[in-house]
Amino acid sequence: MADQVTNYQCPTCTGPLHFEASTNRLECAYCSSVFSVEEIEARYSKKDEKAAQASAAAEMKAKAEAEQAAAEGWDVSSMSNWGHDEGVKAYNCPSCGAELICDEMTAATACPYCDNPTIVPGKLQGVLRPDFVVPFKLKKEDAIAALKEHYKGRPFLPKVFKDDNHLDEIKGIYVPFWLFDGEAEGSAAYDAAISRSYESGEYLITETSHYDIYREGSVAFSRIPVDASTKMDNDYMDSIEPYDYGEMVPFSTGYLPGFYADKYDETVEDCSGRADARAEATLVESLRASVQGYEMVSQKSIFVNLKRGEVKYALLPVWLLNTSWKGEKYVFAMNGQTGKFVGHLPTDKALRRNMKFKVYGIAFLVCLGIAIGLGLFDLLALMRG
Amino acid sequence: MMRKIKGMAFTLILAVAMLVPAAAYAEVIQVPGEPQLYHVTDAADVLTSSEEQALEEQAWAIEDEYGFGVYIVTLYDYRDYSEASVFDAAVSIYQQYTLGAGEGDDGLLLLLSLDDRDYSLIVHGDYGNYAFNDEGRALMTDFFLDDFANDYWYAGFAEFLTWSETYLDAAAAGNPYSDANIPMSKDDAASAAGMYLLAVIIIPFIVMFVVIRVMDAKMKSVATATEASHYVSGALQLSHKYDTYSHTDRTSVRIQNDDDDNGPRTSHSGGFSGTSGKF
Repeated sequence: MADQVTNYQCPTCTGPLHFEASTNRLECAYCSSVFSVEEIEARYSKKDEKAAQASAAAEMKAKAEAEQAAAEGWDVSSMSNWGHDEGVKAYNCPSCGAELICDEMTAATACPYCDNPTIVPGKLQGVLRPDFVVPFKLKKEDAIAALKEHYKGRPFLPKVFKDDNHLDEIKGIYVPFWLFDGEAEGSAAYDAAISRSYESGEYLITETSHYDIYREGSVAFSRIPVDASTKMDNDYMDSIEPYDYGEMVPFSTGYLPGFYADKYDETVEDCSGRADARAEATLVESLRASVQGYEMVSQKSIFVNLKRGEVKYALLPVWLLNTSWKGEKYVFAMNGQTGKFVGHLPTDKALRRNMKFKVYGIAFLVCLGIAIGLGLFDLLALMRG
Repeated sequence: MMRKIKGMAFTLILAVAMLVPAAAYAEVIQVPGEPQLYHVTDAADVLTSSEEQALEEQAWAIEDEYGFGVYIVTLYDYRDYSEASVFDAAVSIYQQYTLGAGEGDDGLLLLLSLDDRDYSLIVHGDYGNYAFNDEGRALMTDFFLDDFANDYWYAGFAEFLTWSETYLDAAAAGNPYSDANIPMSKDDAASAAGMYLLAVIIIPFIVMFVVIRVMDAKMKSVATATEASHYVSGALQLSHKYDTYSHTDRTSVRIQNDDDDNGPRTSHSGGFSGTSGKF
């Protein structure tokens, strides 16, 4: 049995609402009415709870029916059970009634038939409710424009890729992140030296003074982000940092309509190692940077202790753009708040080869010119006698 | 006493050395005002007679073509001529035996003193000082001192005469050798040309490698974050720090200069300029 999902409808005309990044409000696609996030959240909070309860009840009922059938001797092991065996769940679109097949982690999506934004109940509620959300500030059009900008100044980008590239998919996703607070404390010992040279009579004297250096200190960290979704490439999520946490707000499902959202599928324990490594590296670098005024510094020993603090759960906005070329998939990601855009680009091997020849040729001619200017021909003539 | 015996022996050898070639080049020593020594005077007896003859002919040919005297003298000990320095000894010989060619007595004399392995390369006359200036002489000695250091006497003297001719050519062309116009042997020229050609081939490879690496990097913009400096609240709080002096290493290196015993010295006196040192 398919569960019910929530569709945020316009209180004026019942048309679908979506979050508008530029106004930070929810807008009706039909009558253009505008509502604040708080207004819609207050209106739909009870509905969301009911939908979540209905979803949980439906799940339990389905489980009970299966157990009863099994008890009666029926073999139900081959029956498909969305959401349990294959990691997907089925929902009914409240707008058009179509069945939505969603990933188990999906928290917000759009109906593939009527395109109405829908919120999956229960995924972001209770203990799973995020603490914060950074609302989208940039729109789909901004992401497309950023992609075109990204193509500029890339010497080996195939012209065909640039000119005829069609995006396979572009999605605004609220990606689940763990935000780690903490402190790294530690100590480090270094050998350092300063040299000075001076002439004394017929001798050049070089004196090298050696020092034992010790530094002990701590660095406090606030909200180191680590993405908590296995679907997201960690490198991509790292590369679009940082987010401006000044614009982070308490979570509300009102920010989700019009975008995709997933609940986390990597726990705090799964992700803490990455935050620890970054904190440790930053402390090591900070301690080293505090040793100044020497010509040579080498680290003798280092000790780091990490104090773990509070962890918050937040949804951060990411535009994901997918395209394919010559059978290869290319993924681009844009920070939905700051617009920082990343993504590897394909290399045209012929262009690269030609550039190699060009650079070599120019450098060769320049070097030859310099060599001739320095008397290469004279040397050759002298060689021949 | 020993010094006196050696002095007498030198005078005798020098007299013989003057008389023997005189039979062959009688016109030189018999004309008043002309040089009283032949171009090659091997008082230290380091050359065979055929080598001496060959060098004499080479030196003659140079004087014939350029009107410039080039002389070689070997001694056991230059102090028999001057106690002051090997340069003074060379000047003394040059003046005593009225060496040089033309009205200005232009000439170049290479004196080797084998006792303490001293040498002096002196030049006289305006043209001589132009063709064999201080820098040029210092560079010139590099071509033959190695030979003398290895007791390759003939090879060293032949090299000296060949380079003397090359220097005179350069001066005649108005471009005497100096630090701004460094002379080069065929081997040196071949090495330098080889280095140039290698550089012309290799440097573009390095440039290409660096440029392509930079361009390749522009195609990649995704990387794992390794630090968290964006998320540091405040700054590093140092609770303990010290910089303790440990010790000082001291090294001393003797500065090489012209006054060093083994380094070349440049001297000027009465129209003479000289480069002297050890070989």
